[in-house]
Amino acid sequence: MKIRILVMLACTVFSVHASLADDTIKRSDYQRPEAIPAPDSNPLTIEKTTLGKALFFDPRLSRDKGMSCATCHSPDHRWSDGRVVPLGSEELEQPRRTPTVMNSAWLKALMWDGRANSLEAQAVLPITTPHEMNYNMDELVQRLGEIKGYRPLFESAYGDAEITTQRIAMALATFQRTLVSNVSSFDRWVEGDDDAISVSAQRGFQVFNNKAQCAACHKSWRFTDDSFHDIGLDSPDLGRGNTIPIEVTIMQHAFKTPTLRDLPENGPFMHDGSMTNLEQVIKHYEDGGLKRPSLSKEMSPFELTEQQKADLIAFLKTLNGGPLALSPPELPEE
Amino acid sequence: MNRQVTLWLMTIACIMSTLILPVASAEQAGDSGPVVHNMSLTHHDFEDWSFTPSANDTLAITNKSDVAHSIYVTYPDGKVVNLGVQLPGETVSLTIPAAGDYLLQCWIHPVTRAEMTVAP
Repeated sequence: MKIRILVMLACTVFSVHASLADDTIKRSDYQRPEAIPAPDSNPLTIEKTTLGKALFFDPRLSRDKGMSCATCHSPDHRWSDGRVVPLGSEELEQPRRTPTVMNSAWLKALMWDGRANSLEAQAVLPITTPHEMNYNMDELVQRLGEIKGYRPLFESAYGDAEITTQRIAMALATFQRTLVSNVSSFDRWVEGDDDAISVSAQRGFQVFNNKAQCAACHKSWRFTDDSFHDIGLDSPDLGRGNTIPIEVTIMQHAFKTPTLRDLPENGPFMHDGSMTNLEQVIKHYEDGGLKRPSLSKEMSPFELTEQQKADLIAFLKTLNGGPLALSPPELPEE
Repeated sequence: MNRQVTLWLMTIACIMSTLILPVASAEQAGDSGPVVHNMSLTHHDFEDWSFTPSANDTLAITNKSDVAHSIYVTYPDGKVVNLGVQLPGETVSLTIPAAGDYLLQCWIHPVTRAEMTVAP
């Protein structure tokens, strides 16, 4: 009889130990990477970053010289624009909120519908989109060639002053790769500082990973799986379904999982900017979203207590590392 | 009493070994005909496999992750075959029609991909 009790005790100890180990594993799942990745074809350099920064903030990249990349991806708005409908998209039938460009070095698919597969490919899209910067790359190359101040920047970045579409895209991509979230209190907690986040936030972390199952899609240190899901928003926008064969039902109304780092205080949230606070967002997920064939299989209704909701929001706020210490550059002179 | 304890321990050992031992990709050998090759999806990856498939063999892909996948296969001639939405625990199958290089990807998770060369 004593032996049986000992065996049961051993099983209990094993079970508790496994539970603690599980908690440890989950913390380490969110560990920040040590270095910024870059493709072999476009390695990170200070010179390219300097050039890319100038290009990013320069409104002369748009046809009417009135809009730069930073107009919609502003450092004052967490590298987004804080708007429900992006500037210039007011007349579109299905406008999509401007996503942040922070931590984009790690993205495997860009744009809400994943239609660009690299930062280099993405960089030219806003420049040439009619309702955005409305320019074309040939004319832009010519215009930049006439700005004397750009010559030394291209020369430093590439060894000579030749300006090409590819070089513009590579420099813009390089600068964007350097926009990385600051270390937040959550990161310090992940690294072992148990007091870095409140007890409420720690409970929220458990809710995030367990009952609410947010981590099914908001994975890794960037809190995204770089994947596409229909979360059941009442929107006619087919998202990735516009470019994927119609028979792939699961991609209808599917959009890329956005990061949860450095969330703006008052949103807007979701791809269509339809929500302005985290309480609304949590309620949407509790309800499980609009039931339709494309609804993500990860969308299952659940119910949180008021305390659990408060804990979850407390946790999400620990992902805020604050604004980046970066000021706009002096633009190259004509 | 000792016999009871032994039975207890054997039962626990069996359960533990089931939980702990990895389930490796296995090749189910036939006499000389087509073979069923078992593959696994774990999280966002295809688990490494050690078999070399031949034309007319079958791939049986089991979703051992905790999320749904939707695998599609691009054939050497560019044809795309959808294996449908696959919930955790489910297995989908594909009979390989010919030799060549195949690409396996997931519609939901673009990072989930694997290249497979099929022998004649």
